[in-house]
Amino acid sequence: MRIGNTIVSAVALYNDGLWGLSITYRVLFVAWRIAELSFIAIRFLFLRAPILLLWTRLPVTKNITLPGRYQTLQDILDPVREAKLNIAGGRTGQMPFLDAYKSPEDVGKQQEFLRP
Amino acid sequence: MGGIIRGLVTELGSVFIKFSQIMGMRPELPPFIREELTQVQDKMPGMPEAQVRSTLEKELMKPVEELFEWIDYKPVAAASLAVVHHAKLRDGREVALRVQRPFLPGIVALDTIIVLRILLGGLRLLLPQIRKTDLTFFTLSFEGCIRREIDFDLEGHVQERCWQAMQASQQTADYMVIAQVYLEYTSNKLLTMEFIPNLMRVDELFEKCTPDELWALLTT
Repeated sequence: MRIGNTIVSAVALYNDGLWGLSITYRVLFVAWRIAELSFIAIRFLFLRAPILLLWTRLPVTKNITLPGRYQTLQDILDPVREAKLNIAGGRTGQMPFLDAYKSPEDVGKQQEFLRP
Repeated sequence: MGGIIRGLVTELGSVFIKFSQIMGMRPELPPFIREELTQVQDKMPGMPEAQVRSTLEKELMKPVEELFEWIDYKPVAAASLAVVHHAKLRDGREVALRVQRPFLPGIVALDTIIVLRILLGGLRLLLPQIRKTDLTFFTLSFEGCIRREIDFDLEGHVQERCWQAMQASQQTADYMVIAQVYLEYTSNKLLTMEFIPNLMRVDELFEKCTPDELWALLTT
């Protein structure tokens, strides 16, 4: 490797401490992100999902649309929307009976996707 | 149960949504898991107005008022990686602004490590169906795909080349619509392109209109 007019060996540039610091830095970030994702998962499973499951099923609240992020989750957990996804032995947006296809010709003969 | 899995993936964010959509197509997975994963949608809520403004100003290096006549801060579409807003440039052109969500490159870098090395490793131990599968190619292609997908500058240049090719061929111009990219307003985190009215309603219009009517709605 050339630095300015001097040729330096890559081995001479290696610093155990710096390498260790770089690894520690990455490990800390990944650990922080795992903790954050675990918190998001626990919050959803034990707080948001039960509340939204009740909200979308109670006669008083099921027709009230929630704001922001909750609206997306409300759509996902809504039993009416869930039922609408199931048609003609498959679900919308999905290739039905995927396991039955043995060759590309089989796939070509079928309808591309189920449409609502 | 299906709703819970899909809701959880949506809450965890873009990398998990993309991962689920890809895993949903893998025949190694049991059908009941695959069925749920294919249903994961990337419909997400929009971004706050201040966030959109700050991203635009940072990427274009000018105040928003100087560049745009108006911006509709209510999103036209919002997916896992970006949000699309309708706006009008000072020169009168109506544009679609595809604004990337904040901190996405960092989140993608960390989440791909978590998803590919930790989660996929765990899944391999749990599911005998995939224990003997070599996942190296899948890991590499997933990582590469998602990194390329968040580079809007690259996407803009590719789309521009497609648009130029379409313009050159009169045959394809008769039945294809590709939005023109405005590269002078495009960066790594912002993709500015021609606004095509009714594009988000294509599915709905497809059921109601004849092909000629649909073409007229998209091109006028």
